[in-house]
This record gives sequence, C-alpha cells and structure tokens, in this order.
Amino acid sequence: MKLLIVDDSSAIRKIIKAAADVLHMESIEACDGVEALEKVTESYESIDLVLLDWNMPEMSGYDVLVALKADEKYRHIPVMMVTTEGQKTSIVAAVKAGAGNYLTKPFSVEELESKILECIGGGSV
Amino acid sequence: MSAPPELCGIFSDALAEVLAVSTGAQYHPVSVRPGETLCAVAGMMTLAGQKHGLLLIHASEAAMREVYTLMTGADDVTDADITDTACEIVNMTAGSAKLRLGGSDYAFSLTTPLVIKGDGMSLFAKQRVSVFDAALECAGSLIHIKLVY
Repeated sequence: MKLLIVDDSSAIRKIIKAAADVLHMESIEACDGVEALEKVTESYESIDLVLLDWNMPEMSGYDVLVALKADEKYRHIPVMMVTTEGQKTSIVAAVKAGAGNYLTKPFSVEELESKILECIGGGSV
Repeated sequence: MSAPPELCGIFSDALAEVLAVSTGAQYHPVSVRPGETLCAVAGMMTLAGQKHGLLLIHASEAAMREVYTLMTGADDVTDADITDTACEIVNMTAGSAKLRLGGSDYAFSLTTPLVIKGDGMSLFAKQRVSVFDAALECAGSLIHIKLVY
C-alpha cells in the first residue's frame, strides 16, 4: 500500500508518515498542489490513497481533487482531505468533488490511523 | 466599536484544543500583562471577514521546539521545523476558531499564515483598536495569543 501525503507543513507530513509507517504503508510526499499532480502523474499506478491538505501555495487541495477526479486515469484513487477547513460547506464541497473521506485538523494519531484504514477498506465520510 | 473581550477566550480555547489534540499535552490558561512584548517566534494570520482581525500566536524558540517535539516525536528540530510549527499552530487555531465563530459578526476566512522571528519584538496598534492578550502554559512552557481587531 502506498500513500501520497500532500501538505505544505513538514510537521504534518512527518506525523502522517509516522502513522503510515505504523500501518506498514509506504508513503511519498508533496508540499503543494502542483507537486502533488506531478507525483500522481509519475506514480498513479502504485498510489492507493491521497491525503490532501486544502490550503496550500501554488494550487489548492480542492483544485487538485477536482483535477484528479476529472481525469479517467486518476479518478479511481481514493482521496481524503486533511484540513483546517472544518465547516460543513467545505466538507460537502469536497465530497461532491469526489473526496471519499475528510479529517479536520487538529487530529489525533489514533483518528488519523482509523481514517486511513477506513479509506483503504472503502469507508466513507 | 470595540471587539468583545469574549473573542479572546474563543481563540484561547481553540488554541488549547489544538495543542491538546496535536501534542497530547494539556496547556492551561495563565494570566499575562496586556501589551506584553512578542516572544521570539510569532505565527500570524489575517482574519478576513466583515470585521478584519489579526491573530498572533507567539512563544520562545524553546517552547515552539517543545510543541514540535510533542507533535512529531522528533528530537532533532531545525529552525525550519520551528517556523513550520508556528505556521501550522496559527493555521489550526484559526481553523478551529472559524468553526466557533461561523454565522456571527466575527465570522472570517482563513488566509495565508506568516511567521516572524526575532527577540524583543513589539506590536503597536492604532488608537481605539482592540488588542487582547492571553497565554497557555504546560510544564513551564508558555504559548501566547495576541488578537487584534
């Protein structure tokens, strides 16, 4: 199993990577939306889940989500938004755009691990 | 019109929640002198809404390093990690406060956070601007909030 962790915060990427390690999952990282799309283009056949921050420089996580779901090659990859944007309108917008799950920051490691397992197992918001 | 002092409590509660969830440590409110000098690292964010505000969360480098270590479990902390932590803490605190203030006169959107570093910095506001100060403490480690409306 391989996760793509997309967040402009190195601390958040480190926390998510540590959770992936505990779950025996491989992970790759991107620090903005543009880099995220590059990583997906390079490795889409092996990525099992994208964890996507919303507010990032260059390209927002929401725009990345829309781009992924608009492309036949990538739309099968599950996406979980991991973001400070916790209001209902943002959650609804992300789910409508194709996000399979949503985790609001701050989160505990236990919540994160549980949500990742839900996504891999096909759970939803 | 002055901003209500309760606002500071809302942001302070949001910060306490962010620190508790992301570090696992309990930070408790402590009293501070109004207008206290900013600490060495300050994460700041403009609160863009009908009533614009500015949120600063500031601490000593040691206190911000402690937060990073508690968040990530890493002992090896770089200057970039400290800056990133200040950014993320102000971002998460604003996000949490945004939920609490949704639908009120003080509802706001998140904007890009910024970090300033340097010892002995002061913040000067125009007259009749509301400035609130609060602080949280855990095992001698202090994290300050300054809210300007």
